[in-house]
Amino acid sequence: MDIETEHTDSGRRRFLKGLAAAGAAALPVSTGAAAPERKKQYGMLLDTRRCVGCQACAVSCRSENDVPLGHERSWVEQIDKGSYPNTTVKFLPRLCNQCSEPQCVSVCPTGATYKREQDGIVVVDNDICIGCKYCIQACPYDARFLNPKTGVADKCDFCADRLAQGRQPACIQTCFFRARIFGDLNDPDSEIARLIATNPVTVLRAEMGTMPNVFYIAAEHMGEADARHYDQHIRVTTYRSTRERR
Amino acid sequence: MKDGASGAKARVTLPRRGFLGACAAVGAGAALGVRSLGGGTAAAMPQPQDAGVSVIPSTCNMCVNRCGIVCYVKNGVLEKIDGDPRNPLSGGGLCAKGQAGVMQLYDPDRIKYPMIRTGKRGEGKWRRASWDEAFDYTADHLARIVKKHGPQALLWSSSTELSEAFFVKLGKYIGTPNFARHATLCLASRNVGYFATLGGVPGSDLANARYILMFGANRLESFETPDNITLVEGLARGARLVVVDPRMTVTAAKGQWLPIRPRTDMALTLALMHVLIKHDLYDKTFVRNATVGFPALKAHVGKYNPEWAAKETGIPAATIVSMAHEMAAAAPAVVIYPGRRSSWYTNDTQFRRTLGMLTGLLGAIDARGASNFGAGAVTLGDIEWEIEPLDVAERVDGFNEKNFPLAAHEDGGYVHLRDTLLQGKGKYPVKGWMVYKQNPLAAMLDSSKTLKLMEQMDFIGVIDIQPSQTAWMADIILPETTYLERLDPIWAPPARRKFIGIRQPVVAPQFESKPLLDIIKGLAAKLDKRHHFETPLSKAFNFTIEQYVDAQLKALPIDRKTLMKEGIWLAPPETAEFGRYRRGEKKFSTPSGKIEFVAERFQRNGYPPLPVYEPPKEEPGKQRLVTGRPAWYTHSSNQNNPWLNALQPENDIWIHPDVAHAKGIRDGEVVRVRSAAGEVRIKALVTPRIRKDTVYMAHGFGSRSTGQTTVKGRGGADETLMVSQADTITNNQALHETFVEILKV
Amino acid sequence: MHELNWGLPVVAYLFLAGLGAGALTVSASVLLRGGPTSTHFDVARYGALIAPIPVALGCGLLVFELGSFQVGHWFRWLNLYKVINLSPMSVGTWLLTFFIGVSALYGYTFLSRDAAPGDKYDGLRRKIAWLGVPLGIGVAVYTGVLLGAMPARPFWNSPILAMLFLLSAISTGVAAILLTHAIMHRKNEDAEVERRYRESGYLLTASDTLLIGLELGTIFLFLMYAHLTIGNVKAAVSVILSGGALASLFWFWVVLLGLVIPALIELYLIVPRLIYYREFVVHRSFEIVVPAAVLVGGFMLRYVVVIAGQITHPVGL
Repeated sequence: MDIETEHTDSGRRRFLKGLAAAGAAALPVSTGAAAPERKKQYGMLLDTRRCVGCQACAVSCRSENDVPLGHERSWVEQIDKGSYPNTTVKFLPRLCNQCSEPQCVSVCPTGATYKREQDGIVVVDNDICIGCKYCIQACPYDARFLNPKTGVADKCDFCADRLAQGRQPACIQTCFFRARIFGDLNDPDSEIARLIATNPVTVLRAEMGTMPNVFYIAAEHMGEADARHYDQHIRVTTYRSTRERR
Repeated sequence: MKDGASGAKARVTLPRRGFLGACAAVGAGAALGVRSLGGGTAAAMPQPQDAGVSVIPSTCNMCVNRCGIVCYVKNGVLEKIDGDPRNPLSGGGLCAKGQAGVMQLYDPDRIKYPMIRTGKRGEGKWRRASWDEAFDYTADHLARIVKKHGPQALLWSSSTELSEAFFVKLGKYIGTPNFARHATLCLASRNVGYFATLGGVPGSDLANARYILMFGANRLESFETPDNITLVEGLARGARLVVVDPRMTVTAAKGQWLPIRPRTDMALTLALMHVLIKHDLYDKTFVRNATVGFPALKAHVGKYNPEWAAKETGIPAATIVSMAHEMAAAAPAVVIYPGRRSSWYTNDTQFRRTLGMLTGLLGAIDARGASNFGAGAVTLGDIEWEIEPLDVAERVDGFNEKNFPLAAHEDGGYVHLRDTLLQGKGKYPVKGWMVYKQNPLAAMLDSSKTLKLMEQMDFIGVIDIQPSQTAWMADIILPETTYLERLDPIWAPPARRKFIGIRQPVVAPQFESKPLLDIIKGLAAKLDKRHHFETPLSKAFNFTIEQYVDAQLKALPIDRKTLMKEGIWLAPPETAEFGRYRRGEKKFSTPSGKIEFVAERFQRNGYPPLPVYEPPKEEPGKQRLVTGRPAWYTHSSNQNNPWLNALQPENDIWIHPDVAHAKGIRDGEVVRVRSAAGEVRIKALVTPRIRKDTVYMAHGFGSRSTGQTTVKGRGGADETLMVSQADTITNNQALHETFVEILKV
Repeated sequence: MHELNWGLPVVAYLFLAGLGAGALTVSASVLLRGGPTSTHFDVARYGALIAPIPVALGCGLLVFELGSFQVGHWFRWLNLYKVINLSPMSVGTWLLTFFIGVSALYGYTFLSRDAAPGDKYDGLRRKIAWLGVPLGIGVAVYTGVLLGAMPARPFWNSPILAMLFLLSAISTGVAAILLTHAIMHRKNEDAEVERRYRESGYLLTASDTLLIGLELGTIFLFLMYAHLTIGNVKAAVSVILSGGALASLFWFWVVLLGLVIPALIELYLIVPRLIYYREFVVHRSFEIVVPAAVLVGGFMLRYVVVIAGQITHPVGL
């Protein structure tokens, strides 16, 4: 991704940032302190009640960001549950959670990936990244991949280029059903902040301590492993041509 | 860091209410965001930010919805398609197919230049030809047939498209009557059933409905903008949705799923009417003022009680009764959804009638949250066409007023046509087949019959953008440009907020593809040299596409150049008016001017004036095959698109777990599926989302065309399995009348 | 199927780096402990000569498998040196670089055939050896820390992995020295040479027995932890337990062939001397086969661990 940023280039600054970020991640005890105050923290809300799993967002993302086939920056999973005739199908759009405690950032050995000061988007500097794939291993949400064309780590960056042009991220704009909402979590008047404030929301893998900035209304958190426990048919389809659910 | 504000917001952000307990917004679409019906804004078109990037508005063509799009082009390369936020129907959204339009343009398998067959038909051996040779070749063959057998010996088939008129007109000027269009592949039954009952097919105010009853009509996978959008809005506002379908589609998952026994839908509708009448739940005032035939209806449905219907449909009687009560309580804000594809059973026309009748009984029409007429379209002009030949033979198959009084004769009845020709019962020989933007070998059920029909043809010519199954069997393929490379006639759909949209080239035509009008003109010139047509064909097509579009826009306050820049022109808004039909100010387009429970048009033509239920046949040990589609595929047209194919590389057959278990079939295993028409091999998807007596295959796979390299060899073709059947009134093909045996390999 | 981001090059690197680190640690410790009449100078020498090569080779493999290298950015990996942060990989990069330099220099001091205690390089050697011990341990441990840093990889995410890798690194270092020593040794008439050879053999074999014992203990604790806990770790470790995809690989190649059998043989060999103060005698075939088995087991340990971590994942969503 080509990133415009206030983040300066000095190695020392990166060192200190890395120290701080890594230090925070390396602390054995969760401090429970709030993430540092940012001017803006972009976030996303997925209202799965409205999502019909049409994959428009996934294809829009692929188109906008030149995501090679075999990989995804953004994808929509389908969860079939139940026994005839009491069945449901639900959809779970997934992408990078732009965490406030990003585990990918704390493992990056070159400082290529970092969380932007001005809006909280976690980005990868394509010129610095060496493609060691440590961040890909570290992400608890399987949101990263090694881009075979660029040779570096790749993931959703909330369409930072489109944002810089005053446009919505590709996935947001293309959704007929307004199942995806995007905005500044730190702005209490924004649509996303108000929806999060007035609806029960969840995040994925809250126990990972990542403080994700992607939220869900009515998400189906169950997976196939749960079928054994609850004696129900559960099928998860990831619509990722090379990956199972993780 | 750049400040990104450009003044052009991608969409209007409006206060969004909580999901439940939302009170209805005032005014049709006023409080909704841009995405809803009637919400087209007058905001300026998105402007380019990067130097060297052009932003060009156009109209999508990855399916019939034709959503508004905005294309981002850099150095002559299309980089991204966004939805156009100003479009009143699609509101800035664009589905997976629309997004994958980039790959339709850049599909490595697309037809790049005219291709003439060298081997046997279907062998896939082609040689490249120049357009001049291609036009000569095609004109030679067509003229030869015309000279020997007359112009009527040409079968001229095409499906709906903005430029289709040019192709159809060429056929008319050549003088053939034998057109075969989209109607009987799809929705003829619905149209006729509704035409006879309500006078036409109404729109559905799903966003404001309180109760929505849908039979099939899988709107949340089979998009029909704006209904897919307004359905979700209606659900968000607390509408009750009931979906009647042998399988649980995504649409059914968002509401209450009634897994009805296939082909018993009419039992349910008749029983609902029975309950509404018996318990006095129907809209008495409306029925008195705006319908005819109520006493006959009441007598007719007397015996169709819920207990009887429960036995037929498998839906409990109590459910049927409570449905009727809920509908009545919600009336008039009830949508009895007409659906679109009515190619299920041989009695679909009559079934669709019952939907219209139910609408009338509830008074669920001409009101907010109900069915409504009145969404008109902007009136376009036309060029001055030359006069068409007066003396044209009658259709080869007798598909006319006499034999199929209520069918759409102009469009042809595909199954009847094929049967007639295969049985040698045609009034004269038909020896040539020109196809445009249609894939009959995949689209028609019982494909072995279509193959046989092709054998009868001395010449098959196909105009297409990709090597479809039909194109693969042709003698010549003429490559049209994709929708992203051509100027087309104006798009002027019916909509609450009337508008017109442009479709224009966003990149130059790739390879040697040509827009349809240029192909038609090329053919016309060559044909004129070989045969004297009553109207010289070149004279008939003596205009450019620009002139054609100018003629269409003549009466409108916008010209072509401005429209190409803006992309869209919105007519002045009209406030929705309800009640004019209810008050008798407007008449329904039926002979009586009212909603007809007893269809006078049916009665007059010897069809049962009130729908009579026939129990479906069963075949023990077999399952009924139904078909449909996911949200990322359109019929058989884009399974080869690499971005879409990645989502679902092949189809499978849905089998209920008990059925699979009894046969020893495991999930993912390849099975044999056998019917009276053929056999396919396909993977099994063992799922509880379908009845035990039903199996489902998505359409569009099992292609014989090896030119489609992404999808070749994948999946199974439902059309190979389907036994040839059609609706008795409209000849709409009936795709769900086939029973199959599932066998282990 | 799960994508394997880190494959054979990484597995090989972990094995080679561990082996080299172990060799340096052993060599340096033995040298410092040895004093002026080092019985075990040969051990130190072999260890020193062995240490830099596998580590450098392993690092070469790491650079080779970098995404940027694979698409033609040959020198992008130098970006690693523009930064030092608390990422285990950053720390490891600097450690490894330092290791290669130090161990190369250390090895150089032993290069000559006439290298002996008290020769002209002796002082330098000992100075470097002081650095070599913590450096070797550091390189051996950091790989386990690197893998263990990620909650997203529950199989790896425990400190016990670092312990296991450390023990295995030293053990494979010992085995490499044993193997090389055995291969290079020719029966010498000089009884003193033979005595030193047997003494060194005993020291290494006894150390290795202890190390393997500790490894087995660590593995036992690892499995116990997984058994007694819930959730992600429990589910992840099931991949090497009965029915798991890597179970046979783990129990046969890593545990049986790589640990238990060598340990039993080594125990059998050292008990006469250890308990009964008899002579330590080893048949030559054992001298070759046992360390070879340890090395194979060490490689397979890395293999199983690296694969297991990537084909398992957190359970809930």
